[in-house]
Amino acid sequence: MDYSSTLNSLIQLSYSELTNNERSIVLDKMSESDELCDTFSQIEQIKSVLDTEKYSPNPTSVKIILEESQRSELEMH
Amino acid sequence: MSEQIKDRALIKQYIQGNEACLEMLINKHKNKVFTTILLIVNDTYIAEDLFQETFIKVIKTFKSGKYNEEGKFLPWVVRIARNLAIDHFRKSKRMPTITSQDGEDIFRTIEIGESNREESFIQNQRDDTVRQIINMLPAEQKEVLVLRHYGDMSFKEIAELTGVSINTALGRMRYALNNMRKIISEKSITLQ
Repeated sequence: MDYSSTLNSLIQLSYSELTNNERSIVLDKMSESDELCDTFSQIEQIKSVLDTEKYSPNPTSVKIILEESQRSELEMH
Repeated sequence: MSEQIKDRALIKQYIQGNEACLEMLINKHKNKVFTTILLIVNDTYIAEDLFQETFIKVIKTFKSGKYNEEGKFLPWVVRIARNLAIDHFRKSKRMPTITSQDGEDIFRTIEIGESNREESFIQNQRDDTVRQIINMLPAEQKEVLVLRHYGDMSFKEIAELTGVSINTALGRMRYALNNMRKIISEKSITLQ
């Protein structure tokens, strides 16, 4: 596995997209490399920044959708 | 019970006529879907319209019996939302940035120069720092980041949707996260 692939694997590890076997391989590599651990930590830090970004739709939008659903339910019967 | 199974149960009950299950499903996923749409189109009013259109399409799919139970609900909804956003920009001819399979840019509303982008960034810094940083990313990096982080799509799903290899999708995500880190560091932004 080249360095670029290892970095990709860190991203996948962070998003829980590795198989158990792949996960073990990456964790082994991390145990031998401070640099990889730092990189993984940076990934997690940026992800926590991204987690602060949350927007909600206007309640009217949800109301419109629910009304549309009820209307289509009536049309079906 | 896994989230996927919970969603399936709600969908099944909704299709059987329990309207309350749709409300539960929407309330469960509305923030992620709306955040994804807003970050794609970068306009609250358009995002509200597309959010409604997306879920109305979801309802029609459920009621027509065409919903495929395989796969996860949220990534499926996000795919619908993304396609509607592409359609919207095609119709309005305000081409955003992301390069799609047919070579069109989808995400960026207008090509702006680096200096304008910087001014725009500073101007809105107080209002919405993270969103501004995300919008400073190159379009293809922004797309992967938004679809993965907010839309819960796997890298494999993103790769298929955008017509690139999984390694390319992962590479774009890596650069996106790295660029965000650099921007935050260069501008000495204090977040949270």
